[in-house]
Amino acid sequence: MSINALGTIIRIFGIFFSLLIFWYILVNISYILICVLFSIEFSFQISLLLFSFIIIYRMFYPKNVFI
Amino acid sequence: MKLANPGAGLPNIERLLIKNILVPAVRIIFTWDIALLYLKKEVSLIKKLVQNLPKELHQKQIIIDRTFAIEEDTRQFSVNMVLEHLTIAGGLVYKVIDTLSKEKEIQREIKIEAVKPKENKQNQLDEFLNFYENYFAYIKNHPKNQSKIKKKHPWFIEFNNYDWSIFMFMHTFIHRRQIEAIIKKLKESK
Repeated sequence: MSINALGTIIRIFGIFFSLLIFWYILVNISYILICVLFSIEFSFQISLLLFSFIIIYRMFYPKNVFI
Repeated sequence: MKLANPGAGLPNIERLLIKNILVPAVRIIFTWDIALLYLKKEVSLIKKLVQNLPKELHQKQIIIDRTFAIEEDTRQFSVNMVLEHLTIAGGLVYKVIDTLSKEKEIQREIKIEAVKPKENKQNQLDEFLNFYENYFAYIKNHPKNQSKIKKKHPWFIEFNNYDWSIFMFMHTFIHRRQIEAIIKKLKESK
């Protein structure tokens, strides 16, 4: 495999990682807002759980990504 | 050096990796707007790369190592041939997105050989930039619906209009990397 090909694969994973962070931040902004509005304590586990839920949700809506 | 014929496809491992891992992953993490934003960045990078290359090298063909997700025969492309390919293939993707968005079937089979560059002409960058400006305007005003009707990519699976819009970014990105490889090789051969 050429260095260019390897660099392309690394960049693809870089794009994926940056977009996962983007979605995580988006979920957390909503979660923090809810915490502030309803005086709920912020929990890192719940933020991860919400993020996982959003990712699973996006696997099937607006379309099933596996078909 | 004898290269494989156009339409020979990708090595199986690469094709399966893209089909089974990358395609589902991009469908989850991208949106129409993210794909458009990333595509704009790619086009701007390509514009800079080509404008910084002396004009006499734009049409010069040189053999490079095979880059990721690119067919063997494209290893001998010039920078202008890559731009021509992006313009031809992009035009086809544009039509596919538009037709699928109207929930109309596309009867004609998509063939890789049909989107290969034919001319290697001068000033390909202007044509390339004009096409992408039209495409950006089209996607900006697109209703961003997910079509039920799909059209199969010859190497992968059936794509709906949204999948094709992400493909447009991934395809341009892959070929931007090819342009970088060509420019690097051109500089080394000086």
